[in-house]
Amino acid sequence: MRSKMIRWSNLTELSVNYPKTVILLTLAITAFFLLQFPKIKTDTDPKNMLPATSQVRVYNDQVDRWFALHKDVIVLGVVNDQGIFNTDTLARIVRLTDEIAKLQDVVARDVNSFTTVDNVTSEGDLLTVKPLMSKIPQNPQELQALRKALYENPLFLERLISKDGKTTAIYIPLEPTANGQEIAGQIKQFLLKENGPEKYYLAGDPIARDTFGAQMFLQMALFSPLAGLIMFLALYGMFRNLTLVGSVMAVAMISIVWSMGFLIGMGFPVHIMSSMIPVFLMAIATDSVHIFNEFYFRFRELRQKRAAILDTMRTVGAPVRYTALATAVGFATLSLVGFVALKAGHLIPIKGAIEPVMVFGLFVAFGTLALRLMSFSFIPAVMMLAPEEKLLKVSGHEDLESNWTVRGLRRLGEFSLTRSKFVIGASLLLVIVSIVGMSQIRVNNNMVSWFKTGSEIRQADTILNDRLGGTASAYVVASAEKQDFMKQPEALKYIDSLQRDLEKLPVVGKTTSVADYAKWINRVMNRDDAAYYRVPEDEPTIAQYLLLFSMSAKPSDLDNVVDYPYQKANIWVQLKTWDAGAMRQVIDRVNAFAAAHPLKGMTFQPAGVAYFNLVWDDEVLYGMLEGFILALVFVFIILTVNFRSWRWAVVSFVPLLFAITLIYGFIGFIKKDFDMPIAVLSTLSLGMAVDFAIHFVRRFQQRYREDPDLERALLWTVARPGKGILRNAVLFAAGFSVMVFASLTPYITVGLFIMAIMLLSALATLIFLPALIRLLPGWLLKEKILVSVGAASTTQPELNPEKESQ
Amino acid sequence: MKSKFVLALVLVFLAGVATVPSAQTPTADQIMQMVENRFQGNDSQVQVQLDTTNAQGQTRTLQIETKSFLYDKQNIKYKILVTVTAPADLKSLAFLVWENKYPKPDDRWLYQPSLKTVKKIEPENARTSLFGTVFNFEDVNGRPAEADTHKLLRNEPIEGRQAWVIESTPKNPSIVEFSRRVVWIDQESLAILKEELYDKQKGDLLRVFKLAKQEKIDNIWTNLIATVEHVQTQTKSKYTYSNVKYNTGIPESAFDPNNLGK
Repeated sequence: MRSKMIRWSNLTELSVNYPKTVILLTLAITAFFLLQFPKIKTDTDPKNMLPATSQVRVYNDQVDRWFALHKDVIVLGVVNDQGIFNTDTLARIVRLTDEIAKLQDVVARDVNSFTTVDNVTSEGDLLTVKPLMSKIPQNPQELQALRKALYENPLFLERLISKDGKTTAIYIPLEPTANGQEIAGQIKQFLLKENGPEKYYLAGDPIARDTFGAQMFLQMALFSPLAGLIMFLALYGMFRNLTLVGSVMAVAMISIVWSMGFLIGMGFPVHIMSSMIPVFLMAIATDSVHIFNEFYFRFRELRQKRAAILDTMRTVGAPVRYTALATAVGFATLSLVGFVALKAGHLIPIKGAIEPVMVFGLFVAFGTLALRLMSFSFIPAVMMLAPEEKLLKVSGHEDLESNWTVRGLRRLGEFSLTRSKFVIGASLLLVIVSIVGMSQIRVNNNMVSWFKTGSEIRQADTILNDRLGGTASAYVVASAEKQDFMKQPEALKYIDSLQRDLEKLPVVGKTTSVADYAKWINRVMNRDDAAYYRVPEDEPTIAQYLLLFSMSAKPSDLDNVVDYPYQKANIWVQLKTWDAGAMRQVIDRVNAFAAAHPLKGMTFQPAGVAYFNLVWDDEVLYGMLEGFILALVFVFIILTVNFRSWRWAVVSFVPLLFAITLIYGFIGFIKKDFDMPIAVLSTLSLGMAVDFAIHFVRRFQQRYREDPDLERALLWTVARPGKGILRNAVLFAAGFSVMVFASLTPYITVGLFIMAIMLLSALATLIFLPALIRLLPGWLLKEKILVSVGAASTTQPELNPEKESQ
Repeated sequence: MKSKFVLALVLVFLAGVATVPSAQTPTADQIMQMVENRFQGNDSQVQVQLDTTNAQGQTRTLQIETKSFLYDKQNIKYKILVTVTAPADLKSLAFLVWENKYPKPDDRWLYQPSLKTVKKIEPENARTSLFGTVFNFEDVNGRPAEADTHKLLRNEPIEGRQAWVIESTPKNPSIVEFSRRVVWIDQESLAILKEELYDKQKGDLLRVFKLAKQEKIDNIWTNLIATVEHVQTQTKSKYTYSNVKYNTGIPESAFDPNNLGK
């Protein structure tokens, strides 16, 4: 421990002696990492948060193969408020279907609309098998015939035609490699050419997913520099020295270049998760504010730059080291998420770690260590180069008596010391209220709601879900022990009643299965008598009807609902919301139904996009949460080692827990879903709230050792390092306030959440900690601190303590 | 007796075709007409196994019996009865087809054994799947030559047989699933040795038909094994003929819709 600390101060001395060499060396390393950037690969697909080998993805792929299904389907809704049964609208649908089917990456043969589906009907003993609409109806009779055909067939209703006859849809399956956003863009080009009264709505998971991925990158590219700029301005307002302000920004940029360059150089794709590394590092970089904060005080007192730098680093060095260590360990631990998720034994444990989260955690940790290295080398070197007379001028403001911020902080400190019990009581009350709020938290994720309410995607989804069977698609796969089971009347009747039961859920729109096809042919074969719209009573009849169905439609229609050996059947469930919770309801309902009506030899298993989203949620979200908790444990251990006292570690944890509890409580009360962005951001508090407490406690301990007057030491800490804490918090909150203007709701959440974390944890540190320390001196301070500080003092002699005291 | 005469005529005609020098090569339309009018006996009876295998390698098998009767000797049009013999749950399901001269569409009936009913079927086209396989009715019955316009591309040997390569485009594309088809016609037997279908949307290859085995039975060139693959879904079907018998004297009454299932 001791030799290591000496090495760090040696590094500072070296940097102060050879500033230019150190700066050049830093820039050279930066250039090396920058050279890695052209190798950048991006992966904007949130799906890849779970590896392709994860159980749910493997299973979903398997289900797709069993039933010849397409993973990605776009829905183009066409709405005409006058009704779509007119020649013009129908001609447009024909034209659009043709154009869309010609697009690269669209699976032309399975594009479904009026113009591509076949219909089997009967009149007396005449069986008609033909396309639903082989030519555009030209007169009222033909239009009426089409209307009748559509409304009569339950397979079409709410799929191809809304109940009010104003909405239809074109279902557009994509090749597995296709980009939904690009295809949506091409479709929009076709729509622009149509100038009728129709309105068009594009929905479906591939669009939401790919648009989100692309937008996320764009917003990162837009808002990271903007946040940087505002932080730069705020910093300049605080320190009034371009060199120093520039060095904080430079350190942030350099650490971003290092870790992103390293990541790219190692061949990792920049995923939506790792695209957030710059923002996180910028946040962590503001920690160097504490160095400047102290430097200005010291410089004013010593009036000699070199000594002030060395003094500053000696004093602030320990907290900076430990905050960096705590942050790095915190994020590195976060990367263990995958292993934790594996152990925790969820519904569906996945094999392997969540790689993007691991990469994210490890490279944030790397960047944090780079920042720490630069705090002891690059920053002192830059400070050496700053002109002394300018520094003298601006540091003149840094006076514990005259500066208004300091005066305000001092008053704040006095308040929390004189009203300690009130402060603690009020805080406890807030925490209790928040815990009530936390109990209301609903864990949920809904990718479509990541877009703003008025956005195109959100609107399209709402309208289509309102009028048709539902844009979110899930499967319930029935598996039998024996082949040919899915031709048995009891199997189809069971599936049929399960469907009716599922449709009772408000989140479920339309369901489709092999039973529906058997029922439809039964009706057709029995002279179109609606009473026969039911599952036939014997196996040969079902087998024959299904064969007839396969001869009257695309072969894929039957393949989509039953496998070749008739051992597995697929119930297609259309959901009216992308809420992960909706899928959970479906699974619960299926399980409840199966429990209430046991049928030997058949089991059910969920699959499909909606199911994937649910698992994605559970794995990534809970995984992140577990990683976060584990990280807290590790950080706690670091703090205990740092302070050589678990009691002080507990105290340092208070502001973090306080801030998190309050925010989570608030989220619970306003009924906002606990979703992915919030889970990610919770981890940021690792980097910030604990930092404040470390600075506070560490500096208080130093001060208290020099001047063992509890109240005086606390007041000093609130005023002097407290100013650094406040600066850090305000700086970062200001920077991230711009995110409130983002177009994706997760970024708005990011902005608000960061502001809240920063300000709440700063306030908790500055108000709550002094009160707590004052109320628990017996528990915290007696001999323990003196021992621990005594031990610390041998390694870090505080220079000129008498000059520091007021 | 009469049938033998017709057969002899056709054979002479075929022999003539096979030996004509290239300058006298028939036109594409003539070739396709000959293919359509290919003589397959006065009546015939055959057992067929239909195997369909999906992309995962799972197979569905159907045994059918096909009977045919030449009822329009001038235009070589047959009445064809296809009856499922296995699996058990589909047994006795039957289709009856009366071929008609283009442009009149073929007449079709379905016999559904569990209801014991006969339904007349009015399909808009004959290209719907045959028993859920990749084959369609036209693969088995032939496609009317006049439904398409034809172009003779070249002569070339394929699988050791000399073939005409003809490209056809449908006159009414809205009722078929392809935009273009290319066929290799065996110059000796007039069988389609290979067929490539291209889709309507992007002109991509959709389906490939290959005749794997043909034999002369009772002096009639008979397709015995053929495969067809839907290239885009990787689903394959195969038919295998066995017990081919020509001219056994099946009565025409067997092809009466009123007698179906009896």
